[in-house]
Formats: sequence, C-alpha cells, structure tokens
Amino acid sequence: MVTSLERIVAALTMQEADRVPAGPLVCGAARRVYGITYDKAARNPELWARSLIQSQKMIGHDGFLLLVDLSVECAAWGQSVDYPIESTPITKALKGDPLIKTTEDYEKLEYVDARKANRMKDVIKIAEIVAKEKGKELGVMGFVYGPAGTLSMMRGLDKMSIDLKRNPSAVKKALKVINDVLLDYTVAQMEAGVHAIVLDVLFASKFIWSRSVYDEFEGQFCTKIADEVRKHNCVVILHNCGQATYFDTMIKWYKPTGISIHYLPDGVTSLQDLKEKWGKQTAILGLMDCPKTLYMGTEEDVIREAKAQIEALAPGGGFLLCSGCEFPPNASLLNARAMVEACKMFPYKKS
Amino acid sequence: MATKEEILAGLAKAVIDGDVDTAKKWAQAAIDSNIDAFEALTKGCQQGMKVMGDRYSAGEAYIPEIMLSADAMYTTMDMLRPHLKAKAVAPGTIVMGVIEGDVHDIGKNIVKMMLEASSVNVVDLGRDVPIAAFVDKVKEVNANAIGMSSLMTTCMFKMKDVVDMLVEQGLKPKVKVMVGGAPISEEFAKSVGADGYAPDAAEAVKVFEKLMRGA
Amino acid sequence: MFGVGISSGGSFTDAVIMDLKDWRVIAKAKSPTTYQDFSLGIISSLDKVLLASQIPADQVGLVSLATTLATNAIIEGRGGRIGLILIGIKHLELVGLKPETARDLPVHSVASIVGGHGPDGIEAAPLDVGGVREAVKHMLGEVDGFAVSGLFSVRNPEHELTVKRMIAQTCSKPVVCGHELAGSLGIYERTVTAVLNARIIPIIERLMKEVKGALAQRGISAPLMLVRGDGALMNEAVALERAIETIQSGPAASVIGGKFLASKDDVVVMDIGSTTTIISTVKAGTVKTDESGATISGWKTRVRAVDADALGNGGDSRIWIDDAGRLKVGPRRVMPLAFASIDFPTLKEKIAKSGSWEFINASKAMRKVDGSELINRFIGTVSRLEPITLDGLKNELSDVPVVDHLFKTLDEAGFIARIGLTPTDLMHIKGLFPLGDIEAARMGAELLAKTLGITAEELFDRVWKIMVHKITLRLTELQNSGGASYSNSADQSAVIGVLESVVSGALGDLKISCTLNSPIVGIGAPAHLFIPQVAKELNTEAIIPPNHEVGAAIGALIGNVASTSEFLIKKEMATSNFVVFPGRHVFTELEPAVEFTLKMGKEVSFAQAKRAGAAEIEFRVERKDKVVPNLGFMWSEIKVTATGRPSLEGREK
Repeated sequence: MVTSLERIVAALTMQEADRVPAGPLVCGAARRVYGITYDKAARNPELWARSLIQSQKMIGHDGFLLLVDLSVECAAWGQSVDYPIESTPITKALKGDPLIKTTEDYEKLEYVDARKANRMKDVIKIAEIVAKEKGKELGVMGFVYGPAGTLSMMRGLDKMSIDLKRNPSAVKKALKVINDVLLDYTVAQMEAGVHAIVLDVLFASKFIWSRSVYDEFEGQFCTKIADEVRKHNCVVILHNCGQATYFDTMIKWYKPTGISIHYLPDGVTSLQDLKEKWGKQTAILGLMDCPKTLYMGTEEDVIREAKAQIEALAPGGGFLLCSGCEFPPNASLLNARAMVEACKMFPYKKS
Repeated sequence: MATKEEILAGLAKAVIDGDVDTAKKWAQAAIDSNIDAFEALTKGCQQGMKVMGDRYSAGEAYIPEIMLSADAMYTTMDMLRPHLKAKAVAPGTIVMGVIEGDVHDIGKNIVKMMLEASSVNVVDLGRDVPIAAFVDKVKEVNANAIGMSSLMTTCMFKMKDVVDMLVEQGLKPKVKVMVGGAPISEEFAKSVGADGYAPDAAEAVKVFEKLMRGA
Repeated sequence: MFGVGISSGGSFTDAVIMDLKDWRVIAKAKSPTTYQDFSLGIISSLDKVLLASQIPADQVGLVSLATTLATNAIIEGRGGRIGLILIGIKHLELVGLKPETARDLPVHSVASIVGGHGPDGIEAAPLDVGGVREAVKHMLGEVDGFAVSGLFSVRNPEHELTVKRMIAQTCSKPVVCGHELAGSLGIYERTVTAVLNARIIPIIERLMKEVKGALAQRGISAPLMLVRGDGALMNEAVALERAIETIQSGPAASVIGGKFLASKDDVVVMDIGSTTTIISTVKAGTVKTDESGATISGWKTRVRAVDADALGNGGDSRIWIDDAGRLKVGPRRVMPLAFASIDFPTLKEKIAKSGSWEFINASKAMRKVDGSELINRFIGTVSRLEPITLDGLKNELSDVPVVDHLFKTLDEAGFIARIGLTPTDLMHIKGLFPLGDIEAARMGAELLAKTLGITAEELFDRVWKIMVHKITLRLTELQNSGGASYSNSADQSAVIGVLESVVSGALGDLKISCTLNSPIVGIGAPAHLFIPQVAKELNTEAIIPPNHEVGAAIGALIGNVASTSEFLIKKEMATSNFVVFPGRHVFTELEPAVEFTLKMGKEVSFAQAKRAGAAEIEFRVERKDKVVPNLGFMWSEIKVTATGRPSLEGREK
C-alpha cells in the first residue's frame, strides 16, 4: 500500500506511483470542520493544527500546507493585523495603518527572533503538532512568504513599487533584514519536522514586476532560503498564484523541485504546452481554479476540470493536483473531496 | 520657448517615464504659454497614461512603472486644475471602491487611473468600503455609476447588497453598476444585477463609456 | 344562490345577477355612474337588476363590486390627513419629500426616525423609540391616520411593526406599514403605497358603509366583496386595510369577464368604454399583471394590478378639427351632444343659433371654487345652468384681459366640462345606441361635416376608420413590445413606423400584413361596432359574446379571493448559510429553508385569504431560483398564493 507521503515523493521526482497526489490546499477552510470562527482559529495554533488534521481525515488529501495567512511574517516586526470574524486575517498596512509609513522607515527594520515572534511562533507550533502526528504517512509542507511579499504587507504594494524606483537602497536594506529573519523562520519550521518548504514568490509575475526588478528585489535575497532548505535535505516548492509567472526566473534563483501555480506561466498557451516546456525541469502543482471551480462550481465541475489536468500533466509523474491557491476558505468542503475522488477515478495509465 | 506640440508631447513623455520633476516643468511651461489647461491634460498627460495602460495590458509595463506614471499624472493634474477655464465636460461621475472586507485595491487603482485618463470624474472611496457608503456617496455627488471590485470570494457577494441598496432607494435604473476583480465573471456580474463587467482596466473604460451612452 | 356583480365605469355602472351554480346570467342593468356619490349609482343599478331578475333578497349569496372610487379619489387628491413616519431614510428626496422633486407626497406631516435595516435584514441602526414617541405625540391631534415606511422593511419588518404597535397603544386611527402592502424592494414605491392607502381608507369605508346599509335595507345579508386591481376579491374587513388594492379594479374585472365570456385561455380583451378603450392580454389562462406595481396619477405604487393599456379612445372621445383642418378623434373626452341635450333642453336651440357643436359648462368641482372677484365672475359666467360656446364666453367677458389664460388654466385643472360631438353621437344617428337625443347628435354632426365639406355619412365612415386605425395600431404596438426588445429607442420608433404603415396601408403597392395569434374579445356596449373591424385588420377572429355590454360586472363576480405572500431565500456566502426573508431565519441547508418558507407561506396566506373571505382554499407556489452556471444556487424568490371561492356565509354583523 502506497502512503500519501510516498505518492508525493514519487510525483515530485517524476515517477508514477498508484495515482496523482491530491492537494486541495485546505488551510483556512479547515477550521469549519470544528465550527471555529476564523479570528479564533488564526490565533490558536492548537486549534488550527487540530482542524488541519481533522479536515484531512474527512477529505482524504495527501498532504498539509501550513499556511495560515499572508500576514504572519509581517507581524513579526509589529505590523498590526486585522482578524475579521469570518474572513482571512489581513495586515492593516492595506487598511491605512502601514508599519512603514515613509521611506525612512525602511531603514528602521531590525532583526527579530523568528522563533519568538508574534504569529511566526504559532506557525512553528502548528508545524510541530502536525509533523509529529501525521508526518510519517502524509506530506507536511511549511510555508514562507518571500521577502518582497512580506515587505509589501508592511508598506503596500503600490507605495513599495514607487519606492523601489526612487529609493532602491532603502528598500533593499529592509529586504535584507527581512530575508535573514525568514531564513531563521524556514529553519525553525524544518526543525519542527516539515518535509518541504513552500516559498511564496508572488511578484515573479508579468502583471506585477518585470524580470529584472524581480531579480534585484527578491531573487538575489531569497535564493539563500532555497539553498538552506536543500542543506536540510528538505524539498523546495515555489508557490505563485499570479498570472503569467516567470518560470525561467524562478528556476534560475531557486532550483525548485516543484512549482505551484494557479494560471498558466508566461509564454505558455495550454496545459500540454506547459508539460512540454517545463515538465522536465520541475514538478507542477496546481491548477484547480479557486474562485470559478472550487468556490462556485459543483463537484461535477471539479471532477471535469481535474480530469483534464490529470490527462495533460500527469503522465510520467511530475504533477500534483492542487488548488491553484489556498482552497477558498468559504467553499464547500465537498469540492475538496471531489479533487481527491478525481485523483482516484483517473489513475496513471499503465504503459 | 517650446511650441504647444512640444509641450504636449513633453507632458505625455514625462508621464510615460514616470518622471515627476520633468512633468512639473512641462506643466509649468503649458501654464506659462497659456495653453488651454484642458488640452494639456487630455492631449498631454492623459495620452501618456493611456500609453501606459496599453503597455500594462500587453505585459510591457509593470506595477512600479504604472505607479510612477500615475504619480506624475496626478502631480500635473494638480498643477493644471486651477487653470481649467470651464469645467471639463466629463462623460460622467463614478463612485469606486473595493467592497467591504476586501483591501486588495491595486486593480481598482489602475481602473481609476484609466478612467481619470479618459476625463471621467472618479470619486474613490478606497478599500474595505461599507455597502451603505457607496449609495450615500452616489447621492452626495450625484454620480452616474458605481464601480466595485473584489478579489476575495468571501466578499464579492456583498456587491449584490449594494445593488439591493440602489434598488431599495429607487436609484437603480439611473445609476449604472459595473464590477470587476479576479473571481468575478460576466455571469456573476449579471446575477448580482450589475450593468457592466470588465476583465481589465482598458475594458473598464469602454464599459463605462458604453453605460453612459445608454446603449 | 345568486350573486350580484357590479362595475362602476367612467359613465355607467353595470350590474349583473348570475346563478352561482352554473354562472348563468339571470338579468343585467345599467345606471349612470354618479361621481359625487358612487353609492347612488351602485344602489340604483342594484335595484334595477334585482327588479329585472325577480330574485328575492334572501337568495342573493354574494355581492361583488368593482369601483373606480379609489382611483378617482387619488387622481382628485382626496383623502384623509396622514402622518408619515419614515425609518432609516437618510435621503428624503428619494421618497419624494424634497422641493426639487416637484411632487411632494400627499402627507400632512412627516417624521424621519433613525433606524431601519440593511439588505441582509440586519438592523442598520437601532430604532429611535423616543423619536417615534415624540413624533406620534405631535401628529396625533392633526392626522386621520398613519403610514409607516422603513428602509428594507421587506427584508425585516421589525421596526415598522414596533412603530405600528406604539401608535396602536395611543390611538385607534389606522396605521399602514409599507411591508404589509408590498413584498419587493423600493422604499419610494412602498411609501407611496402606504400613504395613498392610508389616505383612501376613510373614502372606501364610507362607500362600504353606504352600500352595506342599502343591502341591509333590501334584506340582503350576503358578504360584500371588493375587486382588487389584479381581479381577485376581498371582503370589507380586508378592503378597509388594503383599500389601495382596488385601483385598476375596473380593467381587472373587464379582462376577467372577457376571458370568462370567451371561454378561451389565450385572448386579447378589449373593453370599449365611454372614456377609454382598455386592452389587456390573457395567456395560458393567466391575466397579465404588472408585477412591479401600478402607476396611478403619476404615483408609482407597488400594487399588483392587471397590465391594462388604456387608450384614450372611447365612445365619448371628442371629434374635432385641428388647426390644419384635419379630422381628429380624442384623446379628450367630452359629454356627447345626445346626452347633453337631455340635461340641457335648450341645447339644440343653441346649436342652431351659434352654428357651433362645442359648448362649455362648469364642472361640479368648479361650482365649489371660491376665488378672487375675477375668478368668481368667470365662474359665474361659466357656471350658469346653460352651456355656452367658447366664443360666447369670451364675448361676455371681453373686459377681462386674461380670459384666454384663465380659461386655459381652469380647463387644464379639469374645472371645465365640455360638450361636443362624439362617436356616441354618431352611433345614435346610426340607430345603434338609442338612449339619448338623436336630433342633437345629428345637428352637431352635420355642422362639423359641413365645415369639412363632406356629408354626415362620410364623416361617420372617416371617424370609424380613425377609431379602428388607432385601436389597431395600439394593439399592434402592444403585442410587438411584449415580445421584442430593442437595442435603442430609434429602432423602436422605426418598428412602430413600419407598423403604422402596415396598419394604415400606406405602403403603396407593397402589402405587408400583421396577424394576431389570439382572438380579440370585445367587452363594453359599443364593442360590436369596432372589434370586428379591428380583428379583420389583424387577420384574427373577433369574439363578441352575449352579455358583452356587462362583461366587467360579470368579471367582478366571478373572481376568486386570493392572498399572496412573498419570500426570499438568500445564500450568504461568507457563512454559506441560507437566510429566509422577511425576518432573517437562518438555515445551514437549503432544503429545510425551503420547507420552512413553504410552511410559513402557507400559514400566512391561508390566514389572510380566510380573513379576506375565502372558502375551499388551495395553494399555488411560484418559485424562481437564481442558479448561475459555475456559481450554483444564489437565491430563490418564493410566492405562496392561497386562493378560494368567496365564502357565502353571511357578513359579520
């Protein structure tokens, strides 16, 4: 009997196990199996971990993603965060209260201890619980929002985008500090027992930054995190749910084992094209459409879309059927289960 | 002394380059040479912004460049505004905002810039806008349209509540509603009673113009 | 048992008595409609029909009445003084309460109270109970009734009901809430509906009292029903709460009568009355109603009423010559010469003397006006018991510099009664309508014909053609707009232009014809004179059923008692709950929410229908789900209607 963990490892290493691994990235949605409100779950690592484990029992997916929300990292520096009762926590930088209010504030960011930092320590705790209880048979993937993303949660992407043109050195100084802390945070998660680190590099997208800006303001810093992950014999997976993502740039800096995407990358026209162009260089995770299929669609819609993706991307391994982004926190959990069902319905074709 | 054509071209280029200082210089030159402020805005900086909008849609410009250009455009607009002889005939007034609970406003901001570049009078309510605020603002400024966006599936259904507010207060046929955002589809827009949907900023301008023509 | 159906139209009040077992018409009668006091005409026609039928009073099990009283009262601006309490409305101009809207609501005083709900039925602000108490205290001595209207009260009526309770504790004056009369969004329309309803309650109350008294005097103890604008019936208890629902009851009764008499499920019903021609459509047995609500005298209400198009062309339309010398018919209504000559025996003499066929006289309303010396003199001249020509009036008042202006103003205000040549007169000449003075009609027709240089016979043909043409064109337009959608108004006028050419045969050698798929049923006394020609133009069948002249009275009697309650089930996406409105009942699954709604809907509409006088109640459920591809279930609109025959048990004493 193949375990979920073996199934994932096989797929990531371009092999065919019994079937494609199913990874609806059930994170915020998990709280609903216990009827816990979002604001409570997001601030209680024990409840979050229990919810993840319980929801996996109900849904049957092959691995966990330890993302709580994208405002975990920025909170380490004291960025205030809003916790809506029934929605994803969100940095107040986007609600008029950014930690970095002027360009001078970039230089004021200092090194903090990730293991003790507000929110980061919660995620490390979640990693400990989940890895200890489920790490033997299921995939456990830590999560780190890249330095540029983290900085944007303290400044706002629009302002930060102007700053990096007008005041590049200040921005880079902040990025360097952030990257150092994120490196510690990554190590702490690995020490807690995760198998892989999912690094969110959202800005490597044609609709956000150019390739050269990306190289200068994230790639050159964040590459160290990927190196560190490999040093610990863990797996580097990238996540980028933006449109027209730069596979070339991402592979250049991080040499990932897998890339998790929501949309087709820059220059790719179809699933077949994706498999052909990039399928040998990296495993692909995705690309179940979150709003349109997982949230608004029926189980039949999910299975139909999953089938098309499995058929195009799975042959020869190198594909994990995942939601393109976090599984929508308010979507029907039956749609997550439908993804698992789809993987069972359409196993690898014996060649 | 630069000619009018040079000044207009200079303004457009400064906006395209996102060069605030140069933009200021050309705006001052326009004022000094008594060039019609409205012309300077529409044929100068707004042309530049349109070029940037097209480049962004085509993947030739990115958010930093767009933000810089917008900064330059707004700086020149602030300088030229006091010199407008008559109030420019705007094709309409739109009240815009990101729906309550959602703070992702980059897309909304780009649409706003493109609308302003087309001389549309935009009243921006920002992000995380309570549903009642849209209707209150529409009444206050006597707007012709509401533009809403959402990137979150947990929030997008509140658009229906805004439409209900308009219907309840008898403003619906008069005030047009347009919506957008990553999870929004044309079908969704229709189902909540919106009059228009645009997948991107360039399209949003066309949709707005169409709605104002009443076609 | 027998039933009496009565319909008061623009000129005549028709009555019919039918056997309730087999709907056989036993007798029919006509009396003039008495505008100053509707009950007189009603009682007169009742007496006539009872006499003609020889049916004893104790055999009358049901009396049902369609009356334009509510409509007239609203148009004339009559009604009680109303205190309006608005809840949670920040922008008063949205309910017509700012000077710039030009049309203020007809209320005595208004209080705007903090409170109201949001679209999700959640309280937008707590109700300012102290403010309500204060407002009611001030209004109490000055008003005859109250209207209460709150923002999103159809999603949650709690605040309106609280205010209603508070008023009921201080007085017994009627209190009308917006949500009680309308189930859909639109604070303006709900407020208008509540205000107008509160205003006309005393008027309907008086009518019911008088008719009831007359019935009692004649030994009739049967329930008295009023026809609603959608054709359903309600008893007096409910009519007193929902008086506004009687607007459009005339057209409703005629379309229901037409459908019944034609025994067809797909027909166009045309009721050619004295004032107007009313056109309405029946499809698959269902009368087309305007779901968004009827408009009356410019007020948009939320009263569900039959979708009837009123064309200002009836027997009493004015036949006149415009400035370019062209013959015109309508839309103005005048008193036919044939009838005026009976009221004013000197009329023929005046026609002969003046050579004019048009006269003016003061309306009853004008006789009551008391104005400045000038106006009083003007009124005195016009109000003499004798009609006068316009030129004659001007001669007499030649020293009044503004006589033209004064005349125009008073005429537009409806204070001038006009007498003139009408199709009714022409029908008299032809011997088709022998009730009035044929000689007066002939004199008028000959004078007008002479002015045009044609014979009276030619005049008759030309007027007929115009009438048929107008009715046909309007019908064609209506049928067309019912199915077509235009991308802009230019397209629409182009299509109408083509239709006009088709109907008038103005395309030279090119022949295009229109075919109406359903037959046309003619209702009203002169129906047989027009409908066959209209039907011929449209290549369809004309049905002129027996008893067509009292079709509306028949329609008044054969309707059912009905009550509809409306609900909304909305999926709230943040929580994935299903919420039932009004009231915000939360469910985690759809099916229990639907079950709850149907159960509640049946209970509520059953109780209401029973109260309105229904027996043998049956339910009809209409459910419209919004399910969007890729989006799934979004919301469901559910309407539960309880319908039953009127109970024949005696009225409550």
